Amino acid sequence: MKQNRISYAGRWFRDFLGILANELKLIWSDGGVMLIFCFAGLIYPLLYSWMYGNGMVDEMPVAVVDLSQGEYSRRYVREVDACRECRIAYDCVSMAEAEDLMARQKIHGIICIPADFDRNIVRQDKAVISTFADMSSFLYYKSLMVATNKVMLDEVHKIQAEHYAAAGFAGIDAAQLITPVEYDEQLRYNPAMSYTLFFVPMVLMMILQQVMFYGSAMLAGTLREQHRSFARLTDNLSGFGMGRVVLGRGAAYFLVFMGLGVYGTLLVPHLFHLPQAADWTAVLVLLLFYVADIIFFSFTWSTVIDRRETVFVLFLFMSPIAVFLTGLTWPASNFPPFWHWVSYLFPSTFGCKAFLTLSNAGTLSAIAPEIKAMTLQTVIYYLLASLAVLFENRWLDRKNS
Amino acid sequence: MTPKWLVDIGKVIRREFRLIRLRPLYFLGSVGTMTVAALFFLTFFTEGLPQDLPVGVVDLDRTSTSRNFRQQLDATQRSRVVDFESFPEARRALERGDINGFVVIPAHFNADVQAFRCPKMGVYVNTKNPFVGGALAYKDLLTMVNLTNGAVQREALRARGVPDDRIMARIQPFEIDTHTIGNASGSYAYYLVNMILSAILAMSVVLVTIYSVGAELKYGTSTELLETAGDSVGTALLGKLLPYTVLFALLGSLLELLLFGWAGYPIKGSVGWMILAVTVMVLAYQSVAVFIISMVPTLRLSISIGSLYSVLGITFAGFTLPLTALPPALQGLSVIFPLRFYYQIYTREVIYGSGFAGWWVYLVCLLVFLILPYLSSHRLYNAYKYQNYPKD
Repeated sequence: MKQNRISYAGRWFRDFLGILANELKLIWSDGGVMLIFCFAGLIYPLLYSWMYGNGMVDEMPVAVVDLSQGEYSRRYVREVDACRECRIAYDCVSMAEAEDLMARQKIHGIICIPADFDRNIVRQDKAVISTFADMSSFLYYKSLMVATNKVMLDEVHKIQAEHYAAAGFAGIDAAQLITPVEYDEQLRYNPAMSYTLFFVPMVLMMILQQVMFYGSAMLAGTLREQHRSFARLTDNLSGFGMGRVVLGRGAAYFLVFMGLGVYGTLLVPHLFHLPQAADWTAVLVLLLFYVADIIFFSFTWSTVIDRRETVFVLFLFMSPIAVFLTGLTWPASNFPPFWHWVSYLFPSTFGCKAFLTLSNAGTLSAIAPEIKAMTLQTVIYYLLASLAVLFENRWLDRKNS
Repeated sequence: MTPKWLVDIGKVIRREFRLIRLRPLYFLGSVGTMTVAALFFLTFFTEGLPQDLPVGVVDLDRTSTSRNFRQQLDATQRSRVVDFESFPEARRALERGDINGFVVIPAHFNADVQAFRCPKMGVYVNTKNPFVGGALAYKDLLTMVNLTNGAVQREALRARGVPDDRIMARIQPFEIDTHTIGNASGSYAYYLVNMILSAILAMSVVLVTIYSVGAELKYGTSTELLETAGDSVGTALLGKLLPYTVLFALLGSLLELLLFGWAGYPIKGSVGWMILAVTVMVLAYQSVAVFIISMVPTLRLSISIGSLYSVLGITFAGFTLPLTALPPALQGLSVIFPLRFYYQIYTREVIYGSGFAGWWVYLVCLLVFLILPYLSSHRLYNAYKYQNYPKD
């Protein structure tokens, strides 16, 4: 009779808290899940920030084949050597020698200055320098390109000034001729074009999603293996507990992942001095939406996992694919249409972009479209996760009867 | 008369085939994974290098000169122009990553150029979001500004009576001709797809091997397996793993043939050597997996360890970020990932075609991993025999 005195809302809340506590206990007492949460959730953010902390190739060893051996060619080589990107490691007498060094990976680029280089410059004929980049990593190619082109632009202006001086233009006249249009380059946010600043924030957000998915799928698999699926909980609630079950379990993960999220998106970036234009409250707002999204995303997709270890065997390879689908390595404007649609399945597609945009722009209004998309995703995945509980329960009932 | 151990191996192999038929997981985790991954990576990067990247133009001048600049930029293969009315608008789009960079053409640009007052163009590039797009947009925008410069210089030099054939050498005394070895078009797919798919193959080998060896513990069938194998853990492992060795070696070989044959990816050396390399890599990863499950004979823990390990392999192979760019303290760790040695062979064979003599050292390094099961199998034997570890 006492039961009747509790209102519907009161009972709802009591069940909700019970399920929440139960789920937290399950997480805590499971070694495999704790390993994933602790190692991947706590160590990976540190490890990746450390590994990609530099994120660029400095002082890349390069060979030079200077067949011209003149004033201009030597000055060019010296200037390239002085660049941050490259270091002249070998001075070769022939291309064959340099190519051999490259095949043995002693160097990652070759600068070849032909015999007529200095003569052409003095004669004011067109001169050419050939460069050969090691394509085993794109960063080698980038380093060589940046260094050789930067020095080229610089040298071209010097040589022009000399030529004009010889032709009788000097001072302001020559300057006007050399750069009739000046430009003011602003390499916003990342002047050294380092890998770190776009890759690490993306990885930090991706880790949250993947850890959530693998961890919760592992637990769901365990329960199903032991024939005590959470879908059964609705039986105790006389079949009306779908919302309580999904929200109660969700709240447990929400507590854990807001913690991991604050750690991964606020503390770790702070420790590694990643630029963040936004206030910490703005990051927190983003986290609220993202964490809710990844929870129901994981609940929905973990429906297909019926054994505890299978989630890794079946889905680990989706991690690199999800990374490419964020559109941060390969521009989203160049996705084939089909993969564009597939990318909308993942919260990370919006979450990673929003986190990066937020760290550039610093205001929540800049990420409004992503927040909207994540809200829509959350609602859809919540409904799907609830339906999954409903159908699993029906299915279990039918199997038992 | 066939020796007994050979008969036993045969029995274990037949037993394993039965398990593979019984549980679809083994097939999905290997063939399924590789099929989906190959489909994704082969259809994702279709154009080689990204084209028609959105870049912004803020035209405050609105004369034929500035419109001409905008049209020329739009006509380049790499860029597609998006117009903005004002600087703040363009800046917001840049911050959101909707455009990769933008140019501000100042007011009175045309008049200033004509009068040699050296007007200044603002070039803004987002080098953070996204990476490839930002770097390429930067190159395109700078080229366009320099071409504009060249056009003005040409007119000025003509006016001063310099003959046309001398003008180009005056504007640009020398230029750089860049050659990209082993990837003439600078294609992102050629650079990435082979290694990322090999990394996923490695992942799949580790997980399926740990699962198949560990499942015997989890489902308590290990004593029966030992009986079938005549109480020898070596025979049991050999028989259990041989079907997967063949399966994964086949998948790896198919992958090499698919990329370098059907998809026409450039290769300087021979596909045959790459098939050898991928096969030895499969063996190395199987050994690592046996080592993990032997040291931690609890399926749930070792499968988590195997996952954490194989994801790190992608970074430590050194094809995304060269190893020398990693913190020195971490560089040495790369030797525990067979993928690192496979990448060394790949670079030398596919890009430089240096043949066996150029990379045999790394093949030996891969073979060293095969010692691992011998070091750890006694632990697995005890675990199989006494089943004294928690099952889940």
